[in-house]
Amino acid sequence: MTRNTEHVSEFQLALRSFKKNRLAVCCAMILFIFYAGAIFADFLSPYSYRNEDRNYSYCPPTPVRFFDEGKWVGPYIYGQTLTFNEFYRRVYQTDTTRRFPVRLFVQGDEYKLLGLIPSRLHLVGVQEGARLYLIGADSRGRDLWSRILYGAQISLSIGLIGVLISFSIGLIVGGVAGFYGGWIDNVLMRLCEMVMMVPGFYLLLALRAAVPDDFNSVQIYFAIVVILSFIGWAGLARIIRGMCLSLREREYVLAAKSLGLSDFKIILRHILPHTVSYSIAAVMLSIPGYILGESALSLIGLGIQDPYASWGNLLSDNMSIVRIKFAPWILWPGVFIFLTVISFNIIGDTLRDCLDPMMKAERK
Amino acid sequence: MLLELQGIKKYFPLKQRWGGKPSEVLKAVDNVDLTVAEGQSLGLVGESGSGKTTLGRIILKLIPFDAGRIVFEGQDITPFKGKQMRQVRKQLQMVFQDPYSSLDPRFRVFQLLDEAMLFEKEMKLADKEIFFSGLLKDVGLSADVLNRFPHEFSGGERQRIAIARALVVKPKLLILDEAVSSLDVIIQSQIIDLLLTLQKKFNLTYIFISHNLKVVKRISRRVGVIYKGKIVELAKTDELFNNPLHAYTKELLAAAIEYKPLSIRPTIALDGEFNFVDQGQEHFVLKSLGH
Ligand SMILES: Nc1ncnc2c1ncn2[C@@H]1O[C@H](COP(=O)(O)OP(=O)(O)O)[C@@H](O)[C@H]1O
Ligand SMILES: [Mg+2]
Repeated sequence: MTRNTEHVSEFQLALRSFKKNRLAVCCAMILFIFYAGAIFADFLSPYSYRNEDRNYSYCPPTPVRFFDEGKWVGPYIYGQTLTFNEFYRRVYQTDTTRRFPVRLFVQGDEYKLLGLIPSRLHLVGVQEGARLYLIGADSRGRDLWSRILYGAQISLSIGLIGVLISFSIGLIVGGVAGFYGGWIDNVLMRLCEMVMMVPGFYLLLALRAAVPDDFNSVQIYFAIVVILSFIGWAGLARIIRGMCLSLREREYVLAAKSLGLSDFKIILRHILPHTVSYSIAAVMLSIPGYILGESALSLIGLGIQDPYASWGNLLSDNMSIVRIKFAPWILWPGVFIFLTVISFNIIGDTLRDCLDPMMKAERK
Repeated sequence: MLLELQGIKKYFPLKQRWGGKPSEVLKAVDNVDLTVAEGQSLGLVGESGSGKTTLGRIILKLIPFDAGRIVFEGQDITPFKGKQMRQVRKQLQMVFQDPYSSLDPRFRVFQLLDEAMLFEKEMKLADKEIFFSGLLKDVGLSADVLNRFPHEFSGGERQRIAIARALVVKPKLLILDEAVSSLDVIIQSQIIDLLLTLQKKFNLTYIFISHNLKVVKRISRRVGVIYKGKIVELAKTDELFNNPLHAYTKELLAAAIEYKPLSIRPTIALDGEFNFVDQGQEHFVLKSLGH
C-alpha cells in the first residue's frame, strides 16, 4: 500500500486542471495586469486624471518614435499644432520640427502612492511644451490613457467590494435559510424573490433616485457599491441556500453529528467550506455584473462624476456618434470593460468545470 | 439490556398546510419496540423504503422523532440534549451506507479520525498517531494512509476508514446501516469478516441494517423483519430462516432464494389493529387482531 506519490486534496487537483486551460490562465493574467495597473495607476500614468489642457481637446495619439531617418535616437514624440479647417473644426498637425524626448521616471503631477507615500515620480513623461497622448486626449485635453488607469481603480474595485458585501449577506442569509429550513427559509426566500423579481436595471435606477444628489464623489462611490450589492445578494443567497440544503443531508454531516460535534462546529467545518469552493465560480461570474452596473450608471451620468474617472463615465463621451467619428480612441474604455468582463466570465466558467468532478464526487 | 426502544414513531409530513397540521403523513417508523442485549448482534432487514435508515438515525437521535422512548444502559436518553447527548454518543456510533459521502472529501484520514477525539483534547500528537495506526491496523489498513485523502481509496477501504472512525471513541453499540451494500461481493465478505473479528476484540454490539438477507444471516444472532415502518417478525436467525411465519418474511425469503423480484407480489395490508405475538422460543410475529 506504500505509494510514493504526494497526497493532494481534490481542490488542488481542480486547480491543476485549471492551470492546464491556456485561455483561462491567459484571462487570469489579463486581470492580474489590470488590477496591478489600477493599484499603481498614479505611477504608471503620465498625468493626473485631472491634468487638463484645453488647447489639446481631442488631440489624437502622439505615436512614440525611435528612429530619425533610419538612425536610432531613442524615444521621442513630435509636437502638435492646432489649426482650424474651413468648417471651424479642430485639426491637429504633427510638427516635425519640434521634437520632445520621452523619458522614463520623470517628475510630474503630485500624488500619494497607495494613498500613503507622497511622490511626483511617473513612469513615462515628456518635458513641458508638448503632451504625451499614448492613445489620445478627451474633450478637455486630458490624457485618456491616464484616465483609463485611474478609472480602473474605481471600476475594478467596485466589482470586488460589491461582491464582498453581497457575498457576506448571501452567505449569512443563505446559510441560515438552508441550515434551519422551515419557516425561516420560507420568509428569507420570499424576500430574495422580491428583490430578484424586479428587473435589475429598473431597480438600479429606482435606488439611485433614492440617493440624495448632493453627495460628494466618495459618497456616490459607496452609494453605488451598496446599491449594486443590494441587487446582487439575492442570487448568491439562493445559491448558497441550495448548497446548504443539500450539504446538511450529507452523511459526513450526520457522521460529525454522531461523533458529538456541535451545530456551530459542523456548519464551520463541514458545510461552509464546501459552499466556498462552489461559490468561487459563482463569485467570478457575478463580478462582471457589478462592473457593468457601475458602467451603466456612470454612462447615463448617474454614477461617478467628472472630473473623477471610471470606465463607465469615460464611455459616456461615446454617446455622440460625431465624436466617435472624429476621435475614435474614446472607444478604448469599452475595450477594457469588454476584456475584463469576458475574462471574469471565462475564468468563472473554467473554474466551474474544474470544480465539477469534485462536486460530483461529493454528491455521490 | 443495552438498548431498549419503546413505541418509536416517526411520521414524515407529505402535504404540509401553511401553519397547520400536515394533512397526510408517511409512517416511516410506526410503533417499533426492540431490545438489544450487550455483545449481541441484531439484524434488521426490509426492502428499500421500509424505514430502516430512519430507525437507525433515531436511535442515535440524529433526527427528531414523534413518539416513543429510547433507553440506553438503563437510562432514558429521550430527553437528552446538547452536552449530555454528546456524552451518550460516545457509546453509540454509526457506519453509514455510502462510503463516498460519509467521509468529508476535504479532510485527510488523520483529520477524519482526529475529529472523533473530541473528548481527548490533551492527547499528544505522537500518541494520537500511535493510537490511530493501531486502529487502522485493526481494520486492515496500514498506518501510512493517515496522510491521504478519501478520494484516493476504494469503496472497501473507505468503509474500513469509516469503521475505524466509529471505533475511535470506543463505543459499545455500533449501528451499521447498509454498511456493505454498496460494495461488491468479495469485499462485502471481507468487511463482514472484519466486523466479526472486531466484535470479539472490542466486545461490540451491532445493529446490522441491510436489505440483503444473506449478509444479515452471517452476522446476526437475531433478525427483525421491517415492513412499512413496522417490525413484522423477530426471531433468532436460524429460526427465522427455517420457520418464517409472517407472509412478508416468506416473500422476502422466497425472493432471496429464487431471485423473484419483490415488486410483483401483491402488497400486504397493514391496516387496522395489530399485536406482536410470541410464538414461543423468542419468536415474535405481528398478527392482525381480526383473526
Ligand atoms: N427527510 C425525509 N422526509 C420525508 N420522507 C422521508 C425522509 N426520510 C425518509 N423518508 C421516507 O421514509 C421512508 C423510509 O425511508 P428510509 O428509512 O430511508 O428507508 P430504508 O432505509 O429502509 O430504505 C421512505 O419512504 C422515505 O421516502
Ligand atoms: Mg436506507
